Amino acid sequence: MVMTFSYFGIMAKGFGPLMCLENHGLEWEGKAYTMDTWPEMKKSGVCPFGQLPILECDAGVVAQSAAIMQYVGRKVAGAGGACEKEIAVSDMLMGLSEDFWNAYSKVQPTLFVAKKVPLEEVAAFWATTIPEKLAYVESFLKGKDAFTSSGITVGELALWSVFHMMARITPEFLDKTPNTKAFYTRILNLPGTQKLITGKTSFGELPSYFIKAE
Amino acid sequence: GLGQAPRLMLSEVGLNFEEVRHTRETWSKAKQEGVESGLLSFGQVPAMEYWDGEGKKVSMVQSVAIMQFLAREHGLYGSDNAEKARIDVLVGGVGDLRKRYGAMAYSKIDKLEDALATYKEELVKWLPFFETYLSKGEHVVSSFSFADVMLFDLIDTC
Repeated sequence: MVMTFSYFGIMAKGFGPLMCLENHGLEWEGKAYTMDTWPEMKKSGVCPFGQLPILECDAGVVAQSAAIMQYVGRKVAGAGGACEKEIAVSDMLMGLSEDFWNAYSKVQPTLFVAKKVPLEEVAAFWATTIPEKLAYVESFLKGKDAFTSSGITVGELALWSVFHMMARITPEFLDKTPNTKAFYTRILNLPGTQKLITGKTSFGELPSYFIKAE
Repeated sequence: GLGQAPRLMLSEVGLNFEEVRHTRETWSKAKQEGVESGLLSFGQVPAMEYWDGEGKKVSMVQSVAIMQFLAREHGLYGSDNAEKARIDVLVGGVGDLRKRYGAMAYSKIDKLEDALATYKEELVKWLPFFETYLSKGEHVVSSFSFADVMLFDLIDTC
């Protein structure tokens, strides 16, 4: 059964699952929804919480980006971690990626909301909040460019995905955390990542959901 | 808060555990010590320390990761991959509604009645989704799992 991944044609919550599908070599078909085609899909009741992304696969209809990534983690040997300790690390990073996403989406404008908070708060997010959070990531890497033996557990790819969405707005945001930057660069250069971000999957170019604050 | 589901889970699986509770007054020093010792990997609680099979102390953070670990250790993560996926989907939905609760309960708000009204609209939207999850029986999947603990904790919080 070829699995079908459904999302919008933008780089947002669907990006982490796409990173996992591509970098773990799973065969998948994409269905990109638009603001015109989404209402009918939403009304259909196929999506468990009325949201995208969803993955239709041998486990049924899997919604929620983290659940889709966890599914890949179990589907492909080692993708969730090589042992119990690595699985726990991958799960912790999955949770951390959600923390970064929540903090980022609270302040950063998007294609649909041009201003969420005053500009000073956006500036404080990049100048203070992010360096504080990154210090923990840097320390957790313990001098390496990976958190686990494979370096591409689903939790690591989830965290990388949020970092990439942030790097599209502030490319230099990892400059003061060299190990985290090395982690980012390593995964950036993976064939699966490059295929995805250069628009060579059925989702195409993936424009950013987040935009610069002005 | 986010520590309640792990507390419930630890009690449910019958593990003896010691709880260290922090207050506003004690947190600053505890956070610094926890970060330095490696217990608080991301500077947050909840955190859990346990001894592994080789007698080595291991620490974990992130409430969902802790729940997932305990579930794997004690066979409370569903019977097959389809059930595991169903559990993870439910847990994600719990997280989404909990975010909306947090926006009302923990954020700086200008008008409480507006925040409460928004929160009630979210409850009206989300609770039917969870109702559907329980439409085939009293558990999220075929038997008791950590998803039931997380859903109970969410409803109890709301």
